[in-house]
Amino acid sequence: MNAALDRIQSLVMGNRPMSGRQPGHNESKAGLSFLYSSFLVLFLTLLVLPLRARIEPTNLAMFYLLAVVVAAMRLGRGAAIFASLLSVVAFDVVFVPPYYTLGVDDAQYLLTFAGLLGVSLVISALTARAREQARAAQRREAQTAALYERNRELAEEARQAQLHQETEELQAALLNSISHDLRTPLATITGALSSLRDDYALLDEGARRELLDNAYEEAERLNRLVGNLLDMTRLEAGALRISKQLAEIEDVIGAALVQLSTRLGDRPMVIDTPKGMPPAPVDFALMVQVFVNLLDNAHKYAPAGTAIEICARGGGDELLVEVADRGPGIPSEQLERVFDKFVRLQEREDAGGTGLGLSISRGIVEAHGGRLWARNREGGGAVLTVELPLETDHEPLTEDLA
Amino acid sequence: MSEAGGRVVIIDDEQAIRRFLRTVLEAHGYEVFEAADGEAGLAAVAQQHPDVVILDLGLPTIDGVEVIGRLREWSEVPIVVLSVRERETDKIAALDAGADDYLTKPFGAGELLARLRAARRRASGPATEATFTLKDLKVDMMRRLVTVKGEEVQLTPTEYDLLRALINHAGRVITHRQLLRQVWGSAYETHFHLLRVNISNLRHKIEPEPARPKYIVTEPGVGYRFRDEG
Repeated sequence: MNAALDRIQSLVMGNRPMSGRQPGHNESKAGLSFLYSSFLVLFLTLLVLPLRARIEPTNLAMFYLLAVVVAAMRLGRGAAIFASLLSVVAFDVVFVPPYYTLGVDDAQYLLTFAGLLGVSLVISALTARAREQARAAQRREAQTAALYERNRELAEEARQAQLHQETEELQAALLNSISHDLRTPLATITGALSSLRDDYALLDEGARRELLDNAYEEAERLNRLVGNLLDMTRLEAGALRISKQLAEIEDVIGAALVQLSTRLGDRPMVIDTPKGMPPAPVDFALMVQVFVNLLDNAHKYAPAGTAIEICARGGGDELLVEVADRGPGIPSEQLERVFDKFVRLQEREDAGGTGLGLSISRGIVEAHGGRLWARNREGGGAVLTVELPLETDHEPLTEDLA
Repeated sequence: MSEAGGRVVIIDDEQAIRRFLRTVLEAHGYEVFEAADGEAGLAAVAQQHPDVVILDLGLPTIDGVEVIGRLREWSEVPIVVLSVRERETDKIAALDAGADDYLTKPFGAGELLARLRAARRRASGPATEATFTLKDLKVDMMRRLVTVKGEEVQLTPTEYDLLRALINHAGRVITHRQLLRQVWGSAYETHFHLLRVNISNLRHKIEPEPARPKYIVTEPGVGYRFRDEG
């Protein structure tokens, strides 16, 4: 009984029924909606009863229209008609003298009954139709939403599948690239050493020297490769610690050139670092690694005998270092892609290397709050520019490295 | 420079490295003793009285830096440590603990022999010659006169002291702190900018190409090395 009252209350207040039933289910429960209609009329009757002594019964009849509207909106056409009839009866019994009988003292009230019934039925019909239309619209909306949701799910599934495939392809390319790049120098070293071991007497002095130099250079390359792989792993794991200290960029470049001295051989270098450049806050060892990669790259692509140029300019808030070569340059659509992992310029597959160097270098420079980008040079060749902030974000420098 | 007849103890847990070192060192007249861990290494040094010790920093039981500390309690034998690129702080810790120099793996045989020669020279006391000559650089200690290709170079007193400290360590690494202590005094031990600026100025005065130094080489994250050969 309490539940029924709650229900009526919620109907009157325009709330959803507490039971949480969907509107569509009510129609199958016609009996229940007739019961709710009865309660609705009873509830209104009791609500208005205290006014019986003060207000003309004709005016009170208006309240029943409210019950009919609520019934039509919430319970359906049948329940609304039932509420109309019941309203007329209740009005007659409760508000029209003599009270609590079906009899009528004043015949005028028959007109009131007819009016009440007529208006109630019209309201029932109109409201119920509006309600049905709203329901139909809701259903259509729900269907559209369901359809849309399904479409979205399908699209998402397709996207996931594609992503998965791309990840797998990338991993396969990665493994391919790493194993290729580790094995290439190892193959040279193993080959050179086995030749020296097995055919020592057959080789003349020049051939032995050639094999040894070859093996040594490849061992150094292998070491750079391992260094890059380690840095990349740290960078990706977020474990790369940057410990900045003020350093002359000239000093950083010098240390990179020392590391690459065997590889660069007699490659001409043009170094333009003006005296009195402001020192930059850098992690020395990591920044050396950046320039080792940039110079290694320039050396790889530039024809023998052409100079690699290093030009540094500083002042204000930043310091710029350009590493320029006279190689084939970079196709304009690849200028950004060369910083992706394992990307090498297709036409120079023979140049070797992992395609990791530029990617790591950019990672390190960005970890310093700087930028690294590539452009093509007038007259041919590529320029890689490192831009480093001279400001240190106001954080104290780790002057004490030890 | 003579290098024959030296005794060397190798403390390294990697058998392949010990084998490689033994081959190279014996070919250059060294007598080689091997130890696979710190305890055995300390015992070997006590028994063999080597002229130089090669010590790997990544040892299994007692750490290389601790081995240096314990060795330094009773021995002044030159120690050259082996380390990897990423471990700059380990290198500094080893040098602070009393190691003479380090080699970054992988290293070449030439580099190894040069380090051993320089470390042994330290043990035989500071150079007493009045002039130092390397390539185009000539330093007359008596007259505090520096010339490059016969032309006199004007150095400030600080730059001269810095150059002399580097030359006294020729061939060996010298940390930022060691240089600051020797040239400016221990109160200035952490004034790294002083060192940085003076090294840069010195390079611009004596190096033909300051960005590709021939004499004063930077040891990333550790210090400097005055290159005395090759």
